[in-house]
Amino acid sequence: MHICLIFSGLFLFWSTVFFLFSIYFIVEGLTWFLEFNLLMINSSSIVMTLLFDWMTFLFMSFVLFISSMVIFYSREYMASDIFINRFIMLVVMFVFSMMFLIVSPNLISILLGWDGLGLVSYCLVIYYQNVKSFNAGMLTALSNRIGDVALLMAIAWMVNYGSWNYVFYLFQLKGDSYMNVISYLVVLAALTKSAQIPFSSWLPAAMAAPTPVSSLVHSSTLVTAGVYLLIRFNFCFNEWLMYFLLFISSMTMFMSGLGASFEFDLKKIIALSTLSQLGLMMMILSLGSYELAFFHLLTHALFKALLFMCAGNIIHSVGDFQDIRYMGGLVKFLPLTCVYFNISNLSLCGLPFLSGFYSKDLVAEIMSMGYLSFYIYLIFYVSIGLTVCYSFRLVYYSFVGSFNFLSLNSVYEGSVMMIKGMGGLIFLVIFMGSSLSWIIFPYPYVIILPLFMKILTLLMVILGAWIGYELSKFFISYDSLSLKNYSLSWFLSNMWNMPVISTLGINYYPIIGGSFLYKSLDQGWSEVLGSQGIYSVIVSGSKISQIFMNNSIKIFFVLMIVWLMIIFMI
Amino acid sequence: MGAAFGYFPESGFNLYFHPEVTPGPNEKPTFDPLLGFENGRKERVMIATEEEMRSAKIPLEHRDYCAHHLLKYLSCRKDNWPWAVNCEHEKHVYSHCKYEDYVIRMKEYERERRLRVREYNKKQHEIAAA
Repeated sequence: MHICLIFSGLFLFWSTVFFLFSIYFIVEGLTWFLEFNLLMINSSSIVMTLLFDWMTFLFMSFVLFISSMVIFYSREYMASDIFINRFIMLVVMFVFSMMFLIVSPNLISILLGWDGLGLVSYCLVIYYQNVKSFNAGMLTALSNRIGDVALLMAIAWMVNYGSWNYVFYLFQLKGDSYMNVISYLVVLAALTKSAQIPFSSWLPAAMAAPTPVSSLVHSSTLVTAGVYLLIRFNFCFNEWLMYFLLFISSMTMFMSGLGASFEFDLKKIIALSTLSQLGLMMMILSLGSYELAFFHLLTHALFKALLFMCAGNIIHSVGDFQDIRYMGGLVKFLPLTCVYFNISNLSLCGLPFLSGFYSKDLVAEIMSMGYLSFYIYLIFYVSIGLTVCYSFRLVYYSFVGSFNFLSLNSVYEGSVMMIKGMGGLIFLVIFMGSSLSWIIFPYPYVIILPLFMKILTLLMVILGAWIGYELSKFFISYDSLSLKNYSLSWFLSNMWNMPVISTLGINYYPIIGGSFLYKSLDQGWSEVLGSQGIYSVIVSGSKISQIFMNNSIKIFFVLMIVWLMIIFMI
Repeated sequence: MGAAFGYFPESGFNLYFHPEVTPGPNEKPTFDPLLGFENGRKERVMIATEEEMRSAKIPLEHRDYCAHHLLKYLSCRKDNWPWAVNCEHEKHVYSHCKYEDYVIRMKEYERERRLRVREYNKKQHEIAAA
């Protein structure tokens, strides 16, 4: 049997099992700790602890389900790849790293899962071996390294408490100065993994990975690891840290929404959309509703995985082109993909009564119920509008309008296994939001808002759709708004120049300094005083000794004469 | 943010425009609760007992005057699990209770605001008369 089918079946089975477990754990309100002794050296024991609660099981169930569909989908998407076994094993290792992270109540084991994610994601990003992938992989790995270092420092600092099982300290030690240091470091780690400002540039760059990987990595695994870490740690955050997180996440949401509205790479638009949704999760998390953040994390995982899979099918069908300006009118050629894509997109926009609506609308309403600054309120609703704006723009460019692809083509919906893989997700994209909203909240959220605030989300959705259309429409003798203001479009599509700032912007002066030091120190003084200098001293010294060696008999005679003269003179 | 829109003249913006008479959302009442109630006020009664709430593991933030409805809802969820959607009625009753609770809080807020305005106006009159 093909390796894809084996792992797909296994993951699907375990996903179902874990989902049933999660349902049981929710209703019973259970939390299990599994502790076992790994090692005993004299009187010190090394204990491994695993945490199982409804959140763990539900998240694992979603990760496994999406992985199962993605692996099934990969069988056709990666069919021409001769190293497909290696590819699938990498994906499986990635999933296991994520699972390890999910069940860890301990900073050390979290670091193991965390680093596993980082390393395997690097291998997956550079899977297509070309310069662009290598650069993207390096950017991804190094950005994530900052988070790894922060986690390592948190581990070192947590030695103060005598154990790395953070779950036992979160409530009791809230506000403790040591716990504050740990929480700052954990937030830093989460910001890198979830690609929040200023670490955002790696996420669109990581689109160099094969599309099934993007589907898995940018929906339920790598980028959500940061959010999940914060969901676990949020009980110990102080007020100022929450405000800081709120500001950073709101900026990320706004920046990525704008970026996606001016981007032309199909996968990068979806990646920026992921970034925007991560900002939304972080925002509601920083307001204290960690369960809502988790809810949106789950629904987002579903529709984003499907969105990427649809994008993969489109890219596969149009001969590996990713630029949406090459597409257009694809609804005639890829009708089912178009249906899946639109449903996911509408779910992302929060259209009633798809999955995204239940989480996003609740987030918006809880946000409205809270007592916040007008800035946060405004930027949140504008970002919600931007989500719809880029989604409609994407649909406008790729599915409707005239066909802009090459004249000689064979665009058709022939990828049966890919369609089946996507079909597995579509029902959950439609129904899971409502089901989860009933299941995971034992204490209902009560929303009381004036009519205007209640329908504000809907108004922003309509406004966003209209602006999305206005921004992107073009036909003969029409000045496109985004092309008319090209420098602004360029700035916004480049994420406020963040990729340049976080690469060359940081490296420019160190590189100039490095070249100066290389010239003057490595190739200059250290050569003069070091290897070359010592060499020339030794050479000249040995030349002198050579003169003595070659004239030793003469010297003996001369010395003898000198001695004789001295003796005679005395 | 909830109070920022709605009815503009009495909205959250008055925290900035008229801070002297607008109570903050996190402030406690400053006037005697019985002021203006010659016959006293009807005290609210907690229906759910502490034992019940403790045995149902209800978190502290949910142990309010609607907790008895919450207990019924939770019990229904458990009986119908996993078809929690069958407990729509219980959920609605609980939500309605929470809504009425919210209205009471808003009325208290409005009372506080009006009393502050009254006091402010009285002071202004006194200053003008002096």
